[in-house]
Amino acid sequence: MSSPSRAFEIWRTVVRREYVTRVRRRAFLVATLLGPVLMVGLVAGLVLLTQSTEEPTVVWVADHDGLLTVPTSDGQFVPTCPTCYPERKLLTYRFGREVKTKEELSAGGFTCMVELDEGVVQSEKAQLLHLTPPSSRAKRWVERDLSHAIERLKVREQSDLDYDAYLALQTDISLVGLDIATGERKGEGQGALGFVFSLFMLTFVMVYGMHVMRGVIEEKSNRIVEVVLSTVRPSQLLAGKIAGIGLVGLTQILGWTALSWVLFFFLGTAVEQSAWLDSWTAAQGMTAGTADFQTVLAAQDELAFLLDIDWAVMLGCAAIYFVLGYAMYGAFFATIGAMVEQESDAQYLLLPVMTPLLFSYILASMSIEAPESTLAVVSSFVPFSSPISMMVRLPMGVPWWHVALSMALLAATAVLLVGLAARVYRVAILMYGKRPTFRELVRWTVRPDSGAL
Amino acid sequence: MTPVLHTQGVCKSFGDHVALAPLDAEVQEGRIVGLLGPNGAGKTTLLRMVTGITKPDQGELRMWGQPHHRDLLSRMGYLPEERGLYKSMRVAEQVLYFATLRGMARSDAERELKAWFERLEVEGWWNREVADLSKGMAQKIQFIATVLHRPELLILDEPFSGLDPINAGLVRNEMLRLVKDHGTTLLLSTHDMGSVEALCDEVILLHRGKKVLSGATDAVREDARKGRIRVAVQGNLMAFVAELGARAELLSKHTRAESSDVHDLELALPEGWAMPEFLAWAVQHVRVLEARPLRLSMEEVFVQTVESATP
Repeated sequence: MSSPSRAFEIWRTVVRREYVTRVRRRAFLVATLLGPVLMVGLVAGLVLLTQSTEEPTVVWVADHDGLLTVPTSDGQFVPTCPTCYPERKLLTYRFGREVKTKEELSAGGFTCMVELDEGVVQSEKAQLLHLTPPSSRAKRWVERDLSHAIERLKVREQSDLDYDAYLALQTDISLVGLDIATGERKGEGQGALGFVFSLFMLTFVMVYGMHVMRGVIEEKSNRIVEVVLSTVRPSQLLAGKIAGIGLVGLTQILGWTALSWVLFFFLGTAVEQSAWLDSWTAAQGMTAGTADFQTVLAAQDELAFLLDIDWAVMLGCAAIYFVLGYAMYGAFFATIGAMVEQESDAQYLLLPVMTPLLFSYILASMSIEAPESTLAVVSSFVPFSSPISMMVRLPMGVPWWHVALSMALLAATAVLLVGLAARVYRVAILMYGKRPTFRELVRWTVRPDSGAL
Repeated sequence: MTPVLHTQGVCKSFGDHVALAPLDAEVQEGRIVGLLGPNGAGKTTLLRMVTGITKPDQGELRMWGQPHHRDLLSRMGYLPEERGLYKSMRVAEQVLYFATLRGMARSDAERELKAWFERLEVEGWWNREVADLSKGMAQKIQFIATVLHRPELLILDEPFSGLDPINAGLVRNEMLRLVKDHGTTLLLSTHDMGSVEALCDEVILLHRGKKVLSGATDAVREDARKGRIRVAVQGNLMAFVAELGARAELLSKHTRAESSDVHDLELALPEGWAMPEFLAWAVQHVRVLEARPLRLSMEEVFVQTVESATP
C-alpha cells in the first residue's frame, strides 16, 4: 500500500473510532434526542414568558399648547391625527392639556406621561416621565407616533410644499426618560451596561466552573487524588478547589477593575491637560477653565449615564454575585468532573449545567427591553439566574431589599449545592471504569455514610 | 507492645460485592509486613481504610492503640499503586505541597527534601517540570513525597513498579534504612514475591476478601512445605519405592543422566515422620547422598494457598 493511501487509511480509522465510540454512547443519543426538544421548549417558553410579562404602557400626553389635539364637545381631547396612533395591545394613549402629578398618573392607571409644548417642533425633544420605565419597544413606538403627528402638523402649515421642503419637515422625536419620583434618567445606556456586566458574569462563571471541572478530572485521571485523600477530606479538597479557583476569578475581576480605573484616570488627565478641552469649552459657550473630564462625559448623550452609576455598589455586587454564582455552578462542574475520567466524557453531562446558564443569559438580554417586567424581577431572585439577571437591573436602580433577598437566596442555594456535591464527589472521585448511575447519585446525596474517615 | 495497626472484624462492601470480609489482623511496630493477594483480593480496600480514604462498614480499626481518626493520618505515608503527580507543578513544589498537607513546616520539608534528593540521586530535578520526568524518575519523586514527613507507618503499594533494578535497589535500601534507623513500620502490598522474601518479616495473604494466610514469612514458608523433602539416593530405585510403599508419597523422581543408579526424589513425609526418622529408615535400603527439606518460594506459597482456597 502506498504511503499516502496508508496515511489516509490510518486517518480514516482514527476518524471512525472517534465517531463510532461517541455516537454509541447513551448520553450522546439522549442529548441528541433531547437537545432539539429542549431548544424548542426553551424558545416557546421564552416567547410565552415575554408575552405574559411585558407590562402594558399607558401614556398620558400632556399637550400644553394644543399642538396635536383638539377638544371635543364633552370636554375631552382627541388627536388631530388619529391614524398616527395605531391601536396596539401593549400601548394606549390618553390626551389632555394639563400636566398630571405622580399620584394623578397612578390613580388614572397611567405608566408614564409625555409633555409637549411648541418647543418640541424645533427641538424634536420631549420628556417622558414614567412611574415604571416603558419597554424599549414601547418607547420607540411613542417616538415614532409623535414624530408622525408632528410631521403632519408641519405639513399642514406649509401651503407650497416641495420635496426638499418636505424632507426638511421630517421629524424624529426623541424622548428622554426620567423617573417621576427622582427625576433621574434611566434608559438604554444603563441597560446596555447591565447587559455587558451580565455577559461578563456568564463568561466568568462558565470559564471558572470549567476550571474546577478540569482540575477534578486531572486529579482523578492522574490518580493523584488517592494520595491527596489520604491526608485531606474529600469535602475539604472540593471546597479548597472551588475557593482557590474562585479567588483566581476574583483576582481577575479586581485586576480588571483596577486597570480600568487607572486607564480612566489617565484618560481624564490627558483630556484635562489637552488643548482640545479649551476648544471644546469655548464651543459649548462655557467659561474657560470651568470644564473637566466629568463635564465632557456629562455632555455626551451616550455616556452621561456612566456618571450616574454607583460604581462601588455595582462592582461590589458584581464581585459578590460572581463568588456566589460561581460557587453554586462550580459545585455542578466539580460533580461532573468527579463522575468522568477524561474531559471528552464530560461534554454530554454539561448540558444540564449549561442550559440554566444560557437561559439566564437570554433572560438578561430580554430584561434590557423591560427591566421592571415580572420576568426580569423574578429571574433576578431565582438563584440559578440571579447572578446574571440582577446585573442588568442593578444600573437602573434596584431596591436594596431586592438585592439582599436575591443574594441570600443565592448564598443558601450555593451552600446547599456545594454540600450535596461534596457527598457525590467523595464517592465518585474514587470510582474508575464505571460512570455513576443517576440512582447512585441520588443515594449518595441522600445517605452520605459511605465517605471517608 | 501496642500494635501499630489492629483490626478486629473490619469489613467493607460495595453494594452486593463484599470487598473485605471481617478481618482480624495486626502489624507490630518496626516490622515489615507484606500484604499479599491476587487482584481483587481486598488489599486496596484495606489500605484505603487504613489511610482514611474510606470507612469500614463494621469492625474496629485501631492505630497505635487508638480508635482510628484523622489526626493519625499525618503519622502515615501512603504510596498507592495507581499514582500520579500534578503535571503543571514543579518537582520540589509538588513534594513540598504534600509535606505541608501532612503538617510539616516548609523549612523542615525543604531541608529534608534536599537530603532525600541526594540520597535518591535526583539532584538537579528540583525545579524541573513534572511533565519532563521519566516514569522511573516520577516513581522516585513519589516515594520521596511519601516518606518526606517521616511517617511512622509507611504503606507502599507496589513501590518497585516502573523502577529499573538499580533504582529498585536504591529504594529498597532506603526502605530498610527507615525501618532500621527510625523504627518505621512498613506495610508492603506487592505481587513481587522476590521482594517479599527479601524484605518482609511477616505476611498477610488475602483472597476474595478473606484472610487465607498470615504469620512470619519463614514460618509461613515452612508450614506450606507440608513435609516435603528432596533427597538424592544411590541404589535400586524400584526396590526402594516398593519398600517405601504407603509410608510416604513420592511426588517426583529423576534419574541422573551421568549415573543410572543415582536418583533425585521429591517426597511428602506424613505427619509424625520427620526427616531424621526417614533418613534412619532410608539408609537401610539405599545410600543417601543428599537430603534437605523442600524450601518453597513465596511465589509457590502464594499460588498453592490461593489455589487451595479457590473452590
